[in-house]
Amino acid sequence: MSLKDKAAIVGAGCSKFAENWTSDAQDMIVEAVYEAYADAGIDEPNRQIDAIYCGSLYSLAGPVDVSEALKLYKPLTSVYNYCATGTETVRAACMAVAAGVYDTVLAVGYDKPKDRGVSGPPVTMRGVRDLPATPAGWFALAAAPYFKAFGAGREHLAQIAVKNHHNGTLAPKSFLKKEITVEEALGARMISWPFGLYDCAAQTDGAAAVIVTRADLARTFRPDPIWVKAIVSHCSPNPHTDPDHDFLRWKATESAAADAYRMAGIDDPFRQIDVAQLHDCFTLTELLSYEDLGFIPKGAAKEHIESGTFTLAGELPVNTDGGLKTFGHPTGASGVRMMVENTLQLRGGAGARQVKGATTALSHNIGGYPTGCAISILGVE
Amino acid sequence: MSGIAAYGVHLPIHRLPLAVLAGKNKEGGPERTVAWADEDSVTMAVEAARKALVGRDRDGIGLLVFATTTHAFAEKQGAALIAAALGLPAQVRTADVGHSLRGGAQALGAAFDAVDAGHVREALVIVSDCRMGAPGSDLERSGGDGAAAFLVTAEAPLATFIGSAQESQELVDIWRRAGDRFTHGWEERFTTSYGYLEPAVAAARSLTDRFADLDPAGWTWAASAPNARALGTFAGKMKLGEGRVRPGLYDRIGFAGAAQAPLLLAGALDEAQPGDRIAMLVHGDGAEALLFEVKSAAPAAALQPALDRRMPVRTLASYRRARDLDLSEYPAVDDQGISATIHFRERAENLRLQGQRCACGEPQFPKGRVCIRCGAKDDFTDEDFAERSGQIVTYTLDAFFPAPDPPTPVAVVQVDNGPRIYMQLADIAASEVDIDLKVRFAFRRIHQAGRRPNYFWKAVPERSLS
Repeated sequence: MSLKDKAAIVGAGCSKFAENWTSDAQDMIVEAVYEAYADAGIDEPNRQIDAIYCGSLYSLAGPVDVSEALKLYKPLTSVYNYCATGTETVRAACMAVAAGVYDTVLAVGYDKPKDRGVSGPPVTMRGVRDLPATPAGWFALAAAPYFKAFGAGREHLAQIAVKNHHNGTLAPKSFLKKEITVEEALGARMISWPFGLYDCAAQTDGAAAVIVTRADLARTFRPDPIWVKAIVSHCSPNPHTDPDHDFLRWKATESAAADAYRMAGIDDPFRQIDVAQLHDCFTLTELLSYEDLGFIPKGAAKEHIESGTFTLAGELPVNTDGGLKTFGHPTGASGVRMMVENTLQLRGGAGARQVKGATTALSHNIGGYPTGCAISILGVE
Repeated sequence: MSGIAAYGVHLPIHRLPLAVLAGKNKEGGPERTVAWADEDSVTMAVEAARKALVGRDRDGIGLLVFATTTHAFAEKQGAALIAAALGLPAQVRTADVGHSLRGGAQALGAAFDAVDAGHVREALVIVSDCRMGAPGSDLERSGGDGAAAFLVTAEAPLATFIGSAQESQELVDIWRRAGDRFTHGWEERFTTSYGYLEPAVAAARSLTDRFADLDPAGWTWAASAPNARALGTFAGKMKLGEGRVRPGLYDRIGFAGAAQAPLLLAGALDEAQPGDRIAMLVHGDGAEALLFEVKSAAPAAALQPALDRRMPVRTLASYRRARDLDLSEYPAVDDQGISATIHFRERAENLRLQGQRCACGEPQFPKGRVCIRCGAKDDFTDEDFAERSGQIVTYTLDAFFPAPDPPTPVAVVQVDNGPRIYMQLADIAASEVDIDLKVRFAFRRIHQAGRRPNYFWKAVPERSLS
């Protein structure tokens, strides 16, 4: 079964992504959701919203955080799928709407990792064989084989960081608004080879929300609904133990992309997709995704990075708002934030970072070791 | 008559030049072995035993005695843990010997007695020590870490145990109170005179008197002593001629505690010829001397390759971090640590690197219920991978992972004819890590969650285990 054109996004909202020392989860949820309400013209949420889907990685009280912040006491489903949580949350919302269970639902992703008092993701060791490295270490495992096979290197990763830092300066709600140079990226302190500091996403607090409604009701909210052309999820074997993995790709992205293109009826993604938000938790993850999503052939990223294909002025702009790298990565919010950005891009409302005439937009989350990927494709017609 | 059928030695690869310990940036000169952050008496014991048991069936081992003054736990046996890591039969008798530098001789004595009495066919004796001298102390400079293991059998092919002599001595010369981290000592001239020389000479004389008909003048002595000068005095008092005392290796290993004389015994066996006699002398709360007669030359040297396998420690700071001598902003938390029930269920995987093989032929680690290749459920046979070799599929150097000596090399390792295992690397410089590097596996302290030592295997470069 396909979800194509069965659900539409009629409202989008996003809090400021930052080290929000003075806001708590409630503040950010309210900020994002009330912006989405306003965007959808919703003024009576208790009458107009039928159910809530929330996604968070770090919250211990996800469902209650959301219902109490909004004082919205509705059916509430908590979604979790590592760093794909945000997209997965919207997928669950779309499925409920497509199934006819609800007319209009709220999907909200958020996280508040910056109350933990330390930088970076948590490293806890409870089991004897718990992961012997940090997330940077997991995602770095594709580097040595990929560099060896295709001749790319740290300088190509650095150019992705430079691009996303530039794009982030154009997004009002992004965390880092700082241009960097390739030399700065290459000279930064090492996190996990080949990733230096600038190859790693900025972990921040934040929340993002979308209002999803039935296709036939969409225009009762706004004249310009954004249609869900595809929203899919796929998992793959743990690459640490997968006996066949070549570490030149992340299989979950390849599988999810095939499903997404089938659902959306896309056969030439590079030509048919106008703008994309990719999961750049680390620069290499973005690089692999260009290929794993079929934008370009496997091994071709190096030349496309050098020629600027994925810059704002390029043929297929990627991470127009700065991505996880500089917009920030409150894990559960990231996938929803990407759909907020794509909604703005498709409405022509992305300001200085607007991709002209964009009609089809893709967003992509990958998480776990990595083991799970979720993709959305949104369109204007 | 019982004796030694095989033996093995493990020295930590890290060598701390005494100049570096003194804060100088200088290479060369005297050095000591240092157990790194992921090593302790248990891990060194397992490695020494694996070397002693290379190519041997382990099912005949009926007794394991582990001697050390540096047990990882004050309450909880080391020998049972080592037996599990070595995959010894569950029926094996296990015993720890502790508290005294003399423990190695006591462990060997127990093994000879058990085999001679016919209670067990084969006994494994492991002596391992990594004592800590307080920062700046003589003991920190003069100490060393290492382990030696001996397989004891009846009619052993390498060396026959002839007999022993003991001298018990009560004095407070060297001690560690319950709960202390560092060894304390009384004034050195007193401890050398009465803690070492007096009982050592008494035990040695009792052995030469007892076996006077076995040409004591021709024996080789593998003798412990707290330092090189004391060893020289012992040789003088015993009137031992040139070459009769094995060099103490104080400038290469340091004084390796209970393992000192066993390491020297291994070195003596390395070079012995049939008919040679070797006396091992240990001291601590008295002294003990054991006499062996060599039956055949050892098939391969054990001590020299261990001495040759070395990585110098470059900075005092890295030594201090490895030995946890500095205060930390985030010290290990004294909580429940890892789940004991999870560890209990996974002990074969954690301690023996045991995975499984599906009937379809697909190997798998960790164990699961469903085959990743054919999808069959519960059609597996257990298989141990610890003694296999493998090669690096991919890697990273994780500088963000909390470790005493970052970056931490981490790799996906393809086990030869086995599964892939995601694990840390040890005993390797970051610049040496590369795709296709050949590795073997070493038993290590993987972390200290709950301020307990938690053990798993790491990959080490194959060359380092030659």
